[in-house]
Amino acid sequence: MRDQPDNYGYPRHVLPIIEKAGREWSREEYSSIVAWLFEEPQLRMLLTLCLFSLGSSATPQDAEDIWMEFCEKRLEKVSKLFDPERGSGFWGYLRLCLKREAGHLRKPLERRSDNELGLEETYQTTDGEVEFERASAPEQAPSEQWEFNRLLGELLLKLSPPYREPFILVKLEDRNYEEAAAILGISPGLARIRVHRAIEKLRNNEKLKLYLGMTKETEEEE
Amino acid sequence: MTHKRSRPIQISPQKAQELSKHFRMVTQAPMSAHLSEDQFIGYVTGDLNEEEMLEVDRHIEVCEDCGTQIEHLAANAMAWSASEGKRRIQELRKQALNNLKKQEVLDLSFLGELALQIRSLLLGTNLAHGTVQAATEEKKYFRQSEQWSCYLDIDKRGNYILRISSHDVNLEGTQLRLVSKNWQREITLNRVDPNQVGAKVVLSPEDLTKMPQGQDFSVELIRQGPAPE
Repeated sequence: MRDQPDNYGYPRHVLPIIEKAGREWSREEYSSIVAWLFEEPQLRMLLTLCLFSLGSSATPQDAEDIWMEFCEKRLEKVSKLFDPERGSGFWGYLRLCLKREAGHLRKPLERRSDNELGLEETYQTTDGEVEFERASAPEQAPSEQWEFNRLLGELLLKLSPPYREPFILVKLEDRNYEEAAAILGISPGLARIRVHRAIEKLRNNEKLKLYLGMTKETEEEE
Repeated sequence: MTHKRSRPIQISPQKAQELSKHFRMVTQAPMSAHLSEDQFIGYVTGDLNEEEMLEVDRHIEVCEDCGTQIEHLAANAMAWSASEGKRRIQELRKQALNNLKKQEVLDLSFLGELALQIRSLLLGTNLAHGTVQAATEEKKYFRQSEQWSCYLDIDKRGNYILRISSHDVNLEGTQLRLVSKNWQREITLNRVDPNQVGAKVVLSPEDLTKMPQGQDFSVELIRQGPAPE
């Protein structure tokens, strides 16, 4: 079975080289491919792939080291082995080889401690101050809603700051991910991930599940 | 995280209602298979479209494993974003291009070496003035090779004479093709003295016009050693 060609958006000067049959790249062509791979968008993606393939214990430095080593020792060989006649795209082939290389160096996955406190533990700021104050519910609010407010407030108080802060900024204060990221000094992608991970952590709380009527008992009864 | 909340958490009734609805929806959502490698990387590098991003959002709301993994990836990939990240990427690029240059010099094959020397001669500033007398042997500013010596001169008719020689007598009878943009010439290396093989190439002004300055110049092997009898 032939490989599927990739649909990577190659720039014009790269296409004639990678589509060339016969695997014979001149030195200039090879250099031009290397220069393209080291442009910011490609490089960020390849470094992220290295990081992903190296596993959860890897650091950005590990990813950079493996990529530079790959370029020095393997990239030229990879370019000679790549054959567009087989139907695969260069980008896909390169990723496959890089992933395999990084995979050899992957250490056993270690569960990364992110200093997060469990929801069952009460979070306090370093100076001992408890930041949360219950929002005053309007008089017309139904008691059920007041109950939910109180529960959510309680759970947010227990959620560790790396998740709680992005969640509050985005979900309660209506800021977008870019704004939240700028306030928190993290990337918008990470802010977005933390908001959704906060949801995941909150929804796994037994009290909330019970409140939402989604406990196993309730499901069985239904 | 440096941000410190300056005011208490406010949950408006409208927000509470929205979140309550959202939590119910998430809880009822069926769990799809784990995220793919493309989803992980595309989400972190921002290369997914909005629909695909939402799909990942929904998944990490129900899958702790993928959530942990993608968060680790995004937190570490921050090293390559913002101004500090751009600087880091520039450094890597600079390093790679330097390595490439070093590698180019080291990896030249014996034909590549010859091509480099001829190209250097043809690019010589003397050539432009028509009074060329440049040789890789005699002038130090051309790279001296163990394999080859090249010499460029001009005759009375205004033709350039390129002489190529090597002390590797095993190359006797070897046929080479010299190739530039719109020009090519086949040469045979013959014995020129007991210890050297070489060839003379006459380049007319017309030949030179077909070899624009800075154009890649290569040497191809047609046949190694003498022709079979």
